[in-house]
Amino acid sequence: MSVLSRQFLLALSLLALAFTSFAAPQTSSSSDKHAVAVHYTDMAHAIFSDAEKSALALQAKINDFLNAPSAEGLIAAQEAWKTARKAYQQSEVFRFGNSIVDDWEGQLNNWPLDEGLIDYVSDDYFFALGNIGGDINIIANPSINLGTEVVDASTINAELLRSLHELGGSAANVTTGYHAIEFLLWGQDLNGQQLGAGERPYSDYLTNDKCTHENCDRRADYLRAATEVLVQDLQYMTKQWAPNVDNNYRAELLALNDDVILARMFYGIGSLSLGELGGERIKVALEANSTEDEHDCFSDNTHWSHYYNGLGIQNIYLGKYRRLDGSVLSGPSLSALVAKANADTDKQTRQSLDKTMTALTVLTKTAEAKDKPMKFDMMIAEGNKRGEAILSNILSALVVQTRSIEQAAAALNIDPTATGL
Amino acid sequence: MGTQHGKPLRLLSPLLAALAVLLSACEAKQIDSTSLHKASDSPPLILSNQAGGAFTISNRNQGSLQAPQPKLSGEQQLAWAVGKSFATQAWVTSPSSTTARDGLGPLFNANSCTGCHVRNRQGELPEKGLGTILRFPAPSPLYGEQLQDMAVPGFKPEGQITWQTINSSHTDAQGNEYQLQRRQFSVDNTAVSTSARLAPALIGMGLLDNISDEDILANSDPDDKNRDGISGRANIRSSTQNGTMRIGRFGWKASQSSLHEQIALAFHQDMGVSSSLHSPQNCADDNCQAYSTANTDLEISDKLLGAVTDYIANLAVPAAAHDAQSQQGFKIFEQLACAACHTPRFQTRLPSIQLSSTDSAKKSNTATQHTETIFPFSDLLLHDMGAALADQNPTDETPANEWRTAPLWGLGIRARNPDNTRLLHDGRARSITEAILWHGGEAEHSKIRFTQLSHQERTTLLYFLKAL
Repeated sequence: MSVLSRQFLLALSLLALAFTSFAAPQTSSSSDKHAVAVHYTDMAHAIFSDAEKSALALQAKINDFLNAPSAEGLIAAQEAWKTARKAYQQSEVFRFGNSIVDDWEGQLNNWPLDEGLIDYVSDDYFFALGNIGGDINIIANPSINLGTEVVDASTINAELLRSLHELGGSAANVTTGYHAIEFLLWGQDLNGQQLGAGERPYSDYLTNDKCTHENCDRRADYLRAATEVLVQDLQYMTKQWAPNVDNNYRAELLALNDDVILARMFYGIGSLSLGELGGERIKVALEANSTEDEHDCFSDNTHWSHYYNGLGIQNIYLGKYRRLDGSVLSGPSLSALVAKANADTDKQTRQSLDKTMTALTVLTKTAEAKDKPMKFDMMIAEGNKRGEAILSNILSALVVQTRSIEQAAAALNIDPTATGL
Repeated sequence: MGTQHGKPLRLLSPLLAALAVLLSACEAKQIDSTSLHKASDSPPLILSNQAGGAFTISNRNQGSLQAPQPKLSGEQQLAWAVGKSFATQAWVTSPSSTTARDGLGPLFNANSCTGCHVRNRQGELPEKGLGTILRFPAPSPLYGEQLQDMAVPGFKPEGQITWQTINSSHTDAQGNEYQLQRRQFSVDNTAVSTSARLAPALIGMGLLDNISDEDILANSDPDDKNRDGISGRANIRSSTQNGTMRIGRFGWKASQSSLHEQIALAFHQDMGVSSSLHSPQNCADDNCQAYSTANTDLEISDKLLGAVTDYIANLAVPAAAHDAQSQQGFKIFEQLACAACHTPRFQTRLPSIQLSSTDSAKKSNTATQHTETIFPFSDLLLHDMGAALADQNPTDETPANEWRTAPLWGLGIRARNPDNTRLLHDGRARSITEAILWHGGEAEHSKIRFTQLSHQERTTLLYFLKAL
């Protein structure tokens, strides 16, 4: 036998050996794992469906308002926007383990945004320099000169907004999504770190001579188009998670090894917990003391955004989601799998998730207090000890919770970074 | 997420180890010993997929260059996110009472680190995107040390990058023809002596920062005493921070001796953000100089500069994807003496300092305290790379034809998409093959041998490089 073929055979046998050892950890609980994976996709479908439904409700309120602009109509639309955020914020937990969600979410939830791209802003507004989109003001300009090309913006529709989103590659050039709509409903929050959100007058949408800040008709077109884009985007994602479809993302995901799907679940909840919610949305804001680090900055709704992010994490671990209609979807869960492997680890994980929700509830109660409410942008002001304590408490809870999640994954012999992504 | 189980990798490495021993034993006689540099007198190298040691994550997707290294604790992940925010969110013009990120400009090239290091990958060439800067051999009266092509309101950009494309072709031993391209850069179409620099990918910087000077020097051979045609030279620099002599290891010319200094320099030169390391604004026009005189405050604090440094130092290294074929490719890599400069393996000793406690005079902080074996595929030394790659003039006290060996880790990820694959100091290479073909000088012999490889050998070599 030649040296080469001997070498080849040895390599083959070593490979075979390696593959046998890969297969070994698949034990009797594989059907349980698959059930958890399937339920994960059911939850995603329910949560994105609720996001879609609440976006349709928002669309209805916005249409009512635009058909007959009034102060009451604007408030009703704002309330519908806040409701629409509830399911969406719970859906963010699907971002990090599923590229299809993470690659898509920018058009729905990019922030901070250079609002000068969309509409009028106060005189002392400064956009991110070097950003060619920062002062374009699409609403005021039927023709947009980008230097290299001139864009016809005489008709503001979904297509135009999609084409201008992330203009020049800048993530601050947000033309679509929740925060664009939020800006159109509330306007800039000019209260800095004092109490108060954006105060856009309803007359910004009056099409008669009472129109304020000019271009009311184009502003209305923009709001309509942005809402249409949001609904379309959510419809797309709901379909990706629908059961019994041959070629959608759910089918693709469920064809993977169950351990990989579980790794993605753990990776998703861990990443939202520390990297995104804890890190980028709370810790950074605390360190920078800057309102531009406030997630829902026009509406001062940030406390609820954070709360529902936290709830989204808990949902995935417990396999339980309370739908917007009040019904509860529950099924095979990571919690049950972990409990089988190590009851203490599961108990500890559930307790740490509860603690986070308690800390987030302090945040929402403080922000919504009847007497002297303190919103997130006030909490992050330099020297606000009480605000800092409330947020630090959430951070500590998220740190402990993430450690528990890691231990829970370890109890199942899952490497949360082995997502195959 | 914290703990790294990495089961498949651990199972795979004994397999690779066994194969490596086997292959080297079988092929030792076929290797032309004169072409080998050191490889012959050291034990055969076992490639590991744990390219960044404990910093390795198993992902190799497009987001994998942006992940934290897996050993960070929860608190450290939070501190890491703060650094990330100041590296990725746009800086804005000062003064502003409401923002932590003011101090951009007045002249700048980009308003955030990720403006040029998109997704922590290497930069782009104009006009495709940001990530190319023009440096000048001596401070130019018009532009200073570097062309800043953007400015905040009230100031004028120094000029715009312009260029002429120069085509050349290369035919290999099999008769395959390659169309190569490079750009002759100018400013506003006016010829100037300038050196283009591409923003490098941000990968494994904290690990490189902590390789000892002694280990780097051990590979240097400036007078080519071993007569292998390769004379790696350390760029010994006086540190910006405390004047001590240290080995430069960052930048295309190895001109910066620590990651902290490299990042402070980038904030200063590329974004116009001053720090305790670089206070006056670097600009030539009167208006701009007046601004510099009036604004002497530090625009990024030591604390935040430390946070950004720690963020970059603690980025994860994506696992390599080695298998039997890439192990074969690695043998060819060694036979061609590529490994003589692209040193596969180093030990790095990581300090166990907590994040967010950066003492600005120290090396960057990482959260792991171990000696780690890493696979950067660079000796961090300067080499003569030949006339075709040379700048017009010396810069950074370094001859025009000398370049620091580019680390190759993550190459498969960075060169995956032909649309944004940009290699070499000025981004002229659009593929790994093109990058190899541009090699000359000390690498001339290796390049020639590359062009003489059979189709299959070349495929195997490229397979290995793409597994990095």
